[in-house]
Amino acid sequence: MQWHSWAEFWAMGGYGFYVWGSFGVTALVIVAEIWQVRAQRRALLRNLLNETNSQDDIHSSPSS
Amino acid sequence: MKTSVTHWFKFASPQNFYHLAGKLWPWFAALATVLCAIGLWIGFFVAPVDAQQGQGYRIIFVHVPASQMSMFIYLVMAAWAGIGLAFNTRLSGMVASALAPTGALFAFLSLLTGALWGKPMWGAWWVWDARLTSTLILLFLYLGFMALHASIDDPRRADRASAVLALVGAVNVPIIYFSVKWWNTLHQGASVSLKGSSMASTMLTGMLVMVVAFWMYAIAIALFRVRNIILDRERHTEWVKHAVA
Repeated sequence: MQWHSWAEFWAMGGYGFYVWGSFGVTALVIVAEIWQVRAQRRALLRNLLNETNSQDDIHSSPSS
Repeated sequence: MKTSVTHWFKFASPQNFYHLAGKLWPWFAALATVLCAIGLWIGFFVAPVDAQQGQGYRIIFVHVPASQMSMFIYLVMAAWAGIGLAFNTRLSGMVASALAPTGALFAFLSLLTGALWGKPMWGAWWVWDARLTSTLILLFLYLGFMALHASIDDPRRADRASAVLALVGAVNVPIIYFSVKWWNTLHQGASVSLKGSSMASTMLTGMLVMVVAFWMYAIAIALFRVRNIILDRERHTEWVKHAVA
């Protein structure tokens, strides 16, 4: 174990801003990318379902 | 059922790959999560403090993997784009497009974490050093690839045009890689080579675990994104209608 206390851990020997800045932004970017591809998939599926449903409506609508 | 077999004769069919990618990405995501946890544990709690750079050196546990992936994803992207150009396979362009945003993000993270390392160690967020400058060009190449692709309405034509850009830009990757040897740069040379390592073994282990974790993440996210691209581009086909119904 490299640390004697949590305070020492967060301080990173005076490099806290740089170390936690690096890891923090990386984590944010990765979370944002995961969120983006999932949102994109949800939107695609929603649109595809709407398209197929509306086509089904045209086919199944009574012509009389 | 027997007639549907004829649609599967080509392994590289988007339909086939859509289902394959759907099965594979959770495994790569799980591996990425586990390896990232192990890598961070080693990086923060096992690896000792660096004699010269103090605790600030721990930035390498994210900087080195991000930088490596930014270069490697570019080569993979250019290779897929080239295959698409040579053999006119639809899936190749989709895979190249799926890789570009992740590569661009890693190039951005490489520059950002490098700046956060450079400020305390060199006293400057940025210098026009060969390695930094060529990495900035790499980010612009990714952005140019995506912008060019988005600017052409017909996806097949967009694939071909951006493939040429990707292939021409690939010359930049060896320039980045060898820049620390070819020029007298401020950026330090590689700490790890085939001849051995100049780092403490736990530092090296932590870094390599993080590199593999980033690999797994990049594969997982690219597989997920290529499924989105396939759904979008094949949305008028019967199989997509069946797949989402």
